Amino acid sequence: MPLVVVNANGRVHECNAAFQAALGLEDEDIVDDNFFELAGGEFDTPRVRELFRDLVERDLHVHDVVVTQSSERFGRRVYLFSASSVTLPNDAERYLLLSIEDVTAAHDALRRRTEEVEQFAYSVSHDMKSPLVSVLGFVGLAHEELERGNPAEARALLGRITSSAQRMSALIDDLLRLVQIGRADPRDETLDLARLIQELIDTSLSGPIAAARAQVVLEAGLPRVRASRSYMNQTFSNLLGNALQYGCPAPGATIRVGGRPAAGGYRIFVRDEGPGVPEEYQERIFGLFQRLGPSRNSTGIGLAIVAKIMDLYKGRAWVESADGKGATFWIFLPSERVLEQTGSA
Amino acid sequence: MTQTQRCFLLVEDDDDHAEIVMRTLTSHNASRRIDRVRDGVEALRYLRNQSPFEATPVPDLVLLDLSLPRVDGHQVLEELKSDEDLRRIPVVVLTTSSAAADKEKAYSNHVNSYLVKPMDFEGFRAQIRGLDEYWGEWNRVMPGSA
Repeated sequence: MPLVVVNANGRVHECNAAFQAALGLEDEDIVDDNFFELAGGEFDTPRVRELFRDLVERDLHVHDVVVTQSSERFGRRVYLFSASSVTLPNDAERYLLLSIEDVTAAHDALRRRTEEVEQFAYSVSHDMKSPLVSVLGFVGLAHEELERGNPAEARALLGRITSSAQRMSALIDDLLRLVQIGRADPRDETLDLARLIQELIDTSLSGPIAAARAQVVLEAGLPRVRASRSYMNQTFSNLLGNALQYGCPAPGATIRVGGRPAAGGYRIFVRDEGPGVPEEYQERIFGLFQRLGPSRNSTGIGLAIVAKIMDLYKGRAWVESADGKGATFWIFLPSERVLEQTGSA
Repeated sequence: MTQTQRCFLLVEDDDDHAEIVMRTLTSHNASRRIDRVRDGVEALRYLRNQSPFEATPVPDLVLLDLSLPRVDGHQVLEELKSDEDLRRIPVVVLTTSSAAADKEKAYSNHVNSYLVKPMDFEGFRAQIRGLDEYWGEWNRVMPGSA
């Protein structure tokens, strides 16, 4: 904690090494220097002078006041100021003890986080409204059809209302999954990824695989990992779901899953035979509600879930794709999560 | 009738919303031509008569959703309004977003009108009918347009 003791005129009486380091004045003797002239006048601002005056003239103590300033020497910095009057042994003079902490990094991180939360709330409110608009629209149209004496048309619209409500339900489920990642601390287990993915293929993904008339091939090289079963299920369920949705343009398409060791960990891929992902969208598609296709087929949350899980695991998720030649979605797991390669699928 | 049929272009990725808008429009005015595209890339290709839209007319109105795959509504608006040939086509944003930031951005990009999809069908029907009457009947299109 950078600390400095000054007298009522602003003359530096003493300071600690952290204070000198914060101002880049490690090698200088700053005792007896004027506080307001230090480091090119870093603290010579109206706000700091006002705080100083309040302290000297009115004995108002200052606690955790945020001061933002810009200087040529340090650029923009955010300081946390605290100050109070002190007396020193065998010294009649009144002094001020100032603690001045540079909190720029924490302040900026918090601001980024706030912006993320705002963006999240905006996207959620927008995308949640969408199926509701559909439900209300179809209900209105169904009424109209009934008034015109077309019960069959009205009945068909009831089916559309059901699908919209189901879409809303899927959206809420996915959003809950997304916000729960990293909140609780799920238990890590030893997982054989080839087995885990095969189970997904045989159970929850069997319907979509049959609908796309695709086949999923597990190649050799999938490792055993230490991870949460739920997170790994979500990761591969979303990656495979994405491949089935966008990467199977014709019946008979093959999706390949495999892995290989990489520097510092392990890379695992899900490769499809779809139209691929143009370069300008390759980063964006991992964002919330970013889609490359029509919204009714996907919640736009799946890849954001994968990215968030990888972020939590200090891994990475990305896509490689040459236009028209399919897409390869990769995840990287750091070595502390990888036990060994199982050898064959 | 000597007047060419008026045409709206609907840019909407959500099939349900597109159907509701189109059914409401045509139930009010069965002769209204409405073409629909699903994202910003298709919208710009349509307006520039690029493949597969070589034969499409200049629309009398673009009804633009903001949240679109690939190129979003804001980008479409920005490109359209900075294009010498296309900037005169009226654009009405039709969105679920009532966020101030979206409105500000759309108006700074010279949108002609900004409409939030109402959460009740009566309101929605009134809005679509009003739109059809104003932009399809009362508003005079640019000489030389469709």
